[in-house]
Amino acid sequence: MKTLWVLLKNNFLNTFKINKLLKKKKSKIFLYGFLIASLILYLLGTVTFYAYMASDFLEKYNMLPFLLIIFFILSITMTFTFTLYSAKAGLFNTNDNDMLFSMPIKSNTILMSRLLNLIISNLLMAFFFMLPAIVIYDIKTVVPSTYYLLVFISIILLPVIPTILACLIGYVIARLTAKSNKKNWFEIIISFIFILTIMAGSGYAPTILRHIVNDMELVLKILKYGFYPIYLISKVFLEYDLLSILIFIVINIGIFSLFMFILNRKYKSIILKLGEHKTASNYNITSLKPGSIKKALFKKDLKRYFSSPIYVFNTGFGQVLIFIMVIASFFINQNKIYELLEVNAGQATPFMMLAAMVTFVVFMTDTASASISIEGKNFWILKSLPLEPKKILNSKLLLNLFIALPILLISLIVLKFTFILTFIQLLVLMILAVLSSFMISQFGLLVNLKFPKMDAINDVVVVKQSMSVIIAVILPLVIMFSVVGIYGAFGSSINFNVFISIVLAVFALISIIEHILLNTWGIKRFKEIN
Amino acid sequence: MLKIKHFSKVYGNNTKKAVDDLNLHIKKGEIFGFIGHNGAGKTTTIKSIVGINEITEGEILIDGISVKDNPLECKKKIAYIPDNPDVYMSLTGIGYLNFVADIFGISKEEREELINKYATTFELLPNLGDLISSYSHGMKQKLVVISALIHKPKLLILDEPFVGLDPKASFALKKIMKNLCKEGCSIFFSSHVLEVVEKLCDRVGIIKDGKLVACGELSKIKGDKDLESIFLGINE
Repeated sequence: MKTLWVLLKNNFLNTFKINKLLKKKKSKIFLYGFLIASLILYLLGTVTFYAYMASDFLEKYNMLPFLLIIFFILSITMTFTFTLYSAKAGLFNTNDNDMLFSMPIKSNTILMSRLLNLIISNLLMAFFFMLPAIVIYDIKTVVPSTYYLLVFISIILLPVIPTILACLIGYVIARLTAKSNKKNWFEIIISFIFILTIMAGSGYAPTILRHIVNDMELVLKILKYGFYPIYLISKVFLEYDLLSILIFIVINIGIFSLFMFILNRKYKSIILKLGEHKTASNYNITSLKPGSIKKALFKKDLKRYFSSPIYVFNTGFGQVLIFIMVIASFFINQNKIYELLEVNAGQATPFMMLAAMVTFVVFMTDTASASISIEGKNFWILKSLPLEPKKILNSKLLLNLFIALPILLISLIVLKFTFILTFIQLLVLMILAVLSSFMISQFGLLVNLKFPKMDAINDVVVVKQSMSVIIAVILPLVIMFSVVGIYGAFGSSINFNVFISIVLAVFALISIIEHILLNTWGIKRFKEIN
Repeated sequence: MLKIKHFSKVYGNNTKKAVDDLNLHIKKGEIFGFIGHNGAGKTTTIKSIVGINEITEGEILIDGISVKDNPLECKKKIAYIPDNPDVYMSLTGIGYLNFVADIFGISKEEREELINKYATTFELLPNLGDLISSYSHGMKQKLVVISALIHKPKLLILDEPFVGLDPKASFALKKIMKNLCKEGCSIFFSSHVLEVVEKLCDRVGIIKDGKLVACGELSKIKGDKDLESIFLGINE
């Protein structure tokens, strides 16, 4: 138990760099604290808004108790999705495998610590996501004295099953592709297919909601036979049934113990198997093609990018979405696409929707915010070779533009015909794509230079948990949604052509400022990083 | 070839100097051994010479060029072999060597000849087509050594170069080091293996707590004792 605690504590300190943070000046700690708190408050506000809207809708149909159940289901889906991409790295492919397995620590303690790490981080996310719905439900209805106890137990146990399920699927994917030379590609494709399936499924959410409103009994029956733990949760909050919470506890603890028992028996051999490499060992030098420095750096960065499925998945999702949209535009009629994009809602035109979509896709495709951290222990190579920092940074930007722009620009050309855009509108969208790509990649690089994470134990820590990625992804999206919100509120008084021209001018200005910063502060900062 | 003048290094906001007022001069064609206990300042010095660390005070000159003022020109003359061979796992061995060759602008013929020569010497040629992630520690170390040699450096900087190498590869590296010196290349290397330092070096420097406490020809420093007792005496 003591060892388990030590492992958990060590991982926590390492992930969040607590020791390093505590050694910083008080003013800096305060600044970081303030930034993080502001971000949390903003996100909490957004979740509260949606929870309130949902509660209003359900209240109309006298279905308020379903508020908690809907949020539980959303939390479970989120937990499952997030874990799927961190399970392999978090459970099996960590850099400290050799060190930990050489120590007198039982393998089940190592496994338990890693599994708990996953569950705890999911728990924090679930708690954060559930909190507004819990409070709103309490305010809007009369709850029994056991309400918060039941909520507490449910939330604590909520991430267990989805985390374990995601670990299992993550393992199966890794195992199926372990012996292939193209395993990264398999992993990337399988991951995208999987997440798109979930998204397609969530597209049926309005239908499900209608079913809930129309036939509660049927929904409960489906839950009972298809998703029993959720059925139990429903019983807990619809009827305050204590037996259901007891069964829920037993099921979760049982599944956790069973998973631990089975996985522990093969844990070490699974780690070894996943670490196996296929080698040919029959190389002969034939012809080596020389190339330019720019090309050598770009090729190196490109290979590094595609060698990391989590990096590709985290930054390539927007591109996949737009690609699917283009393919769909060949098969689905125009009205249906308008309906899907809610073009007819309010005063939105296809041009407006596409402008928002282009910005969103580009903002989602920020490879630069992890590009310095992803060098990790290899950073000495770049620093010791006769390379100007500017060339290295440019290569990182080029990779971002290469990932973000080609698919998007081609898609826009195709979508011009689907949405019957004018040539000028197409041109504006393309300029928007290029400008926002320059802006976001430079922003990502600057943030990563400010907050590099060079000692990450795996790519998941860099791509999903590092400060630079969190800031570089969330901040632009927050600004974007705020701008869209402001336009939505005052749109009728501002001409969209004027609005988009202002946006383009602002993006261009920010890009120029970022460019100057990168070539001055950025280069200085690059030299400081070790 | 390498001149270190009053070099000091301070990390971050620390008050203590990791290296304090270091002065050294390595001549052309010389092998210089740099020894010291763990944390004495060897790697800090090496990382500053090769341009990884920034220089807090003083100056480091390579072939008369300042590392601080003209790092790129200096790096073109240097090859660096770190104590831990962390290289790009996503590349193949040949991919990495080609990458380094591209950065140094090595011609097609020359890179083919030198890679072939050194990869054969270190028995790594058959593995060059495999991903580096499949390499053992020693294989990675060999790869880094080959990448350092293919651009014919004027100054070779090695940080614990023999760690992880098998006896045959160690022997080959020592032989290559001697041959390079005969061709006019200077070598600056740190090691804990004092026997190797004794066998290879013309001069040695001993660093303790960031300060150079002894420096000179091996025979003069040693006298009639062995290097180990001198080293232990200094560090007591």
